[in-house]
Amino acid sequence: MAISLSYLNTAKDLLLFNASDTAIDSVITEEWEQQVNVLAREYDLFVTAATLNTTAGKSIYSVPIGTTRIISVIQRGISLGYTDRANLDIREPDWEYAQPGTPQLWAYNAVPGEIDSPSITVTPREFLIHPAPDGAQAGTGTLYLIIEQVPVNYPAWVEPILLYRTVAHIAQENPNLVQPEKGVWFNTLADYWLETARKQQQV
Amino acid sequence: MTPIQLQDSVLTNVGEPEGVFHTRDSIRTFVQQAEQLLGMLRGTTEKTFSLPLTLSEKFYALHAAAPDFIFPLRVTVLKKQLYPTTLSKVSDRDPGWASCTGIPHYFFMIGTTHIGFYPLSPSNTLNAVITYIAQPPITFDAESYFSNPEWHEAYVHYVAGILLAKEQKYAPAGEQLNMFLTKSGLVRDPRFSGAEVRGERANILLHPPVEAQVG
Repeated sequence: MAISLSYLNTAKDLLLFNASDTAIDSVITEEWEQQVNVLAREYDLFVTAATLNTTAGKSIYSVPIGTTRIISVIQRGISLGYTDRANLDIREPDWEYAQPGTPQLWAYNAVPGEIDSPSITVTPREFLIHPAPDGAQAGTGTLYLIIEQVPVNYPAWVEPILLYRTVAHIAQENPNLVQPEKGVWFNTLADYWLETARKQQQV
Repeated sequence: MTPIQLQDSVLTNVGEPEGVFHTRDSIRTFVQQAEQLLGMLRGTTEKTFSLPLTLSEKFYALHAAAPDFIFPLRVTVLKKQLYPTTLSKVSDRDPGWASCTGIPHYFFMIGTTHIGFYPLSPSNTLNAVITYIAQPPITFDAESYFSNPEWHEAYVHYVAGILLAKEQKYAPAGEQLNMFLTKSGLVRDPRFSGAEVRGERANILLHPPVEAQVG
């Protein structure tokens, strides 16, 4: 969701630009989008769900585009336990050969897609469930993910935080507009807002 | 205080008349933000809505039903108050929670955008009544304030602080923000003082280590 005209003009006003000055518009718009991304990656504010199909014997799956973190993985109504790959490798060194069955654990994937194939990389966009589902467990829509995602639409209460962060970063970092004290001041204000919101929302 | 009186008071605090530099339109936006911040801090912007529950639905998007939702204060189903919990606790206590239905006893937030209930709703006829802190609307006239008059003076200081920072007068701007907190009955924040903005306050230890105290 792009910055609204009202907030665009407010940001320009705080940076001492007139509403009619359009040269700074793209800078503010890009910084605003960037701050949405940063907020989504820093905190579990914007959550959504996704349903995936599972295949018998297949343990590695991809998360939807834009996912920043997996919060919970539910297979056929049962929450899977989280483990990290190092622990899984130590506890069950041969887990890649494990017999399919009822999945118990999930972890972010670190298994190379194809050896000697540089175009296929390991990314946090993949996760694995262990053991891989067997015929009875696999099926359409059996895997339910609760994920943190860079939002397309975010709630309006976030906008003041985005406004202050956008103004702070532009004031501090834009070489054509260096107002470091203004950057520090608005960053402090944005922090206060964010602390208040996170404390009350317990995220 | 009417919005016009509030705007006049802001301009007096800033020391600038209304004109090109500060307009009443820009002041309105910041009054709303002050109201929102105070709402989050003191619970002054409370609203209630009814959320229809769906059979076996794991969680619900809140902003479709209540676009101004910020965070919940109280949730009831069938006039019984639900206990707040977390997804982690529910998953730990009952890994099969996502297929467990019954009259909900607990609610949990997932992020800030969704709410879940445990057990899941057993039918499509239940409603959860959710009291929440709401984002206030922008004030347009004398009647549209969300909160009571006793908070209006606090808003004046918040908006004055923002406008002074815009003018690059950071020390008085920080002082105005601390006045906002004081008028709201909240603890002043040393980060808003001018010394902190200039980086001087960072050198002063509020709680010196014991070794330094005993020499």
